[in-house]
Amino acid sequence: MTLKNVINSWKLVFKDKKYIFLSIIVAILFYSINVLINGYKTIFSTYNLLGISEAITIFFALSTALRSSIELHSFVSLIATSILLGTLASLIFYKINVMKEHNTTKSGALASIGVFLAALAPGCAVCGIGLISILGLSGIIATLLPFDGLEISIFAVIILIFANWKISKDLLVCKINKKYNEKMKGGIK
Amino acid sequence: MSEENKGTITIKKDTLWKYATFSLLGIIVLGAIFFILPGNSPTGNVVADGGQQIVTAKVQITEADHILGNPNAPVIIVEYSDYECPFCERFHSETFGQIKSQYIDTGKVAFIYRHFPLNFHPNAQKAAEASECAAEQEKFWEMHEMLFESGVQGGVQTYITYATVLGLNTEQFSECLNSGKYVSRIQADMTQGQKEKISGTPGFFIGKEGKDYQLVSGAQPFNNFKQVIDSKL
Repeated sequence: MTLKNVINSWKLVFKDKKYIFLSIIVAILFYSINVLINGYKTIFSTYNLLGISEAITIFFALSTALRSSIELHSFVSLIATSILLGTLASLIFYKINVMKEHNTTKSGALASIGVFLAALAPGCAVCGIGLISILGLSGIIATLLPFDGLEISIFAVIILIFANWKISKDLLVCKINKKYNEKMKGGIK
Repeated sequence: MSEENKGTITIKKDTLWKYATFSLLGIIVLGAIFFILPGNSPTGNVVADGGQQIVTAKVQITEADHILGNPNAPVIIVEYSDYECPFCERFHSETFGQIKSQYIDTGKVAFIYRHFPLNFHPNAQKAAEASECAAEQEKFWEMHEMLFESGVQGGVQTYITYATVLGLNTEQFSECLNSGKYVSRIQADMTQGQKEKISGTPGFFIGKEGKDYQLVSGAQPFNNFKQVIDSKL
């Protein structure tokens, strides 16, 4: 529950270069998906007309030019979202790896899946944000929302900060089931 | 302004939207701050000290506690643990050895082990009972070691095998394990852990008898324990 726990968890995970690398890869992947969503028409038409190598060139050009094609706040939130999703992925994989390494029973595999889903569930709510534009909803959102969708970007970043915080503070513990705890308190006086 | 419009405040729809959005964001931020701040302990105050939690409640040491090392050591570590929890196993295999050699064996720290078998670990409760049954034959720490090192897979049958390996009277051990005579003893440990507000296993309280105990949560690396222990010595 403390900030110290969170800092310790981050120090522990990111002193291993493997997890820094994983964070970077996930962040780049998420950013790339957003580039692809944003410019898929251009990339696919280039692919159809000029082939794969030109399509890749266009993809990289779009990646570097994304800043100028979207609002500044959208770009900043995309960068923040990508980084936070990267760190979240590393924290999840670290926890699962520790559970696998030190597992004493077979139930650990199920527990690992549980950790993965529980930690990713709030974090992946932001995965849908990229989909909003591919479904053509961005225009509707822009007209409906007073800050042209900025509120969704901020919301996504807040969700990811929450997900990172939640997994970091209990990174190295088997969390007590609070409902069960309350039941125990009621039963044992 | 006409007579009809007197006393009426007009807000643009757009402005109303913006106020509503700001209010929502404000609620989210306040909620996040409230969530992040530590709560109060039911048995005493919890104060923030540079981000660390110091539990001001005194940790009670009883006759039933399993103590490793000098019982009159200046610093006491109380661990709440579960034999099936992978993080408890991690602490045991990676950190405990260093704490033992540098602090327990040198008489600086007394180490107390308390049970907290979690309900979603099917073999943990019986493993805790197995360690208590071994304690009847003066082999608590040996069984404790074996449960962490060799695992709890297989449940009761596995613990009986461990008892044989440790040279225990297996008939007495099996009878003890099947009777469930230590269920209440283990529940007492859990109740104590809940009172002291541990949030998961392994959970540690480090401090001096009769003084403030500091909560260290999780299988932290040795250096984190070293810092806390040294600050108490």
